[in-house]
Amino acid sequence: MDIDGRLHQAGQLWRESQPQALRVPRLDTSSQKAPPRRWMTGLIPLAASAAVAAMVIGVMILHGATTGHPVPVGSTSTSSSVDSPPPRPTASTPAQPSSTVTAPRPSSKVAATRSDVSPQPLSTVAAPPVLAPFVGQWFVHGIGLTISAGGYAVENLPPDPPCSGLPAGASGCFEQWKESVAYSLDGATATLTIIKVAAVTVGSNSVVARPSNGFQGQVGDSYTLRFMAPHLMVRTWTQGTFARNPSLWGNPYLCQSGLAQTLTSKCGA
Amino acid sequence: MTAVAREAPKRLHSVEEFTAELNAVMPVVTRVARRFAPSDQAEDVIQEACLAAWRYRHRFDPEQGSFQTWILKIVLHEGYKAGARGRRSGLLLARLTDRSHLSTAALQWGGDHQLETTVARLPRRQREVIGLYYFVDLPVQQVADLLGISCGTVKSTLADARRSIQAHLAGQESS
Repeated sequence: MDIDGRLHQAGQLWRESQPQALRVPRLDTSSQKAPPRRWMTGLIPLAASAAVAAMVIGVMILHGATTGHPVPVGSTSTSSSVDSPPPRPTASTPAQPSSTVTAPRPSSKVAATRSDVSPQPLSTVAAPPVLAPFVGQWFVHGIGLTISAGGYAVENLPPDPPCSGLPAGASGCFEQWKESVAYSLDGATATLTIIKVAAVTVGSNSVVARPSNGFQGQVGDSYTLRFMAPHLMVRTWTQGTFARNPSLWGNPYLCQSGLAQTLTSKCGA
Repeated sequence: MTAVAREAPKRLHSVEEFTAELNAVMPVVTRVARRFAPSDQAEDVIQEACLAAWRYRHRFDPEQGSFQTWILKIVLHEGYKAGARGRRSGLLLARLTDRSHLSTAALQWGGDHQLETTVARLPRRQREVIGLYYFVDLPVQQVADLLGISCGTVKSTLADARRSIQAHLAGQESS
């Protein structure tokens, strides 16, 4: 028997072997909603563990606030909800313009305002518990970094050496990294990991041949960003060539419009 | 310009109308669910599909195709979703889930096990066409409508699948 006949016969047998057709399920016209999906049940332990983790973190923060132990950078102050004494202004804290910088969001109370924190020049800022400050356009020398709210970033760098094989009409090219962005739980740092590297022409955004000795960045290289001041971040390489040889990477700062005049020199502006 | 009077397409507003349409196509719906959903989830898939169809009944346009084709598309989609859920849950290893159930089913109903196993190894599109044409017993035109491809593509896919099956079976017999 040929395959066609064999398939027909198999189909016929299969249909005959099937039990009766199922009945139309009762349609709930009042809510018009499907019953809870099975995959949602898998979220229950996840939600429970997240709740436990949140409680543990809350207890740790409370403990830090009441005992005066250092609080993790970026964690919010809970002094308003506990019986700890309000922060007392000291002679040093208000007078130091370059002391610990508060977050760009005025509504967030940061732990760094506690009276027992000694002022340090340009110390790490307690980042707000929101991720918005990282989102936006950043620059340093010839490098431009755009962090989007969707968890991705695009970074453009001048290629080293210049790209070859430019199409007619293209005035130049730059090395472009596409990066994933992950934030720490306290929102104080962002970790960016290169997920794509390409050479892109100026203006047209068309991909051209890679530089002769390869790209500066590799997929998988990653770095962290943290605030030094409002509109000023510092980059620390954690993975890849620049992590192994930090001296190969130039200026670690990234600036944004709105940066205080006294700090613009950080980005070579 | 004279206005052309057109008959309004039949919409399914009431539960009675909807259930009547559904009852008429239920045998085919059941066969598609049993063929393309994981073997133990055919009922769930039909329920999900019927509820989804009822919820989105305003999207059904009789001018775009028949009610049967529309509901079968939903059933097929829900069947694959159920298979994906099963894979994610780790019920069975990776892609073996939705293929192995076919051979298991073949063992259960005492059919052509060798043929079913070979069909289960075909690429997804070929499996779909073979399943809908030979097992669910849909005409070529309806298979084409359901999968959103042309009749010619259905026929050529069937021919390719038959060739693959023949080659595979010949290889098995010679070894």
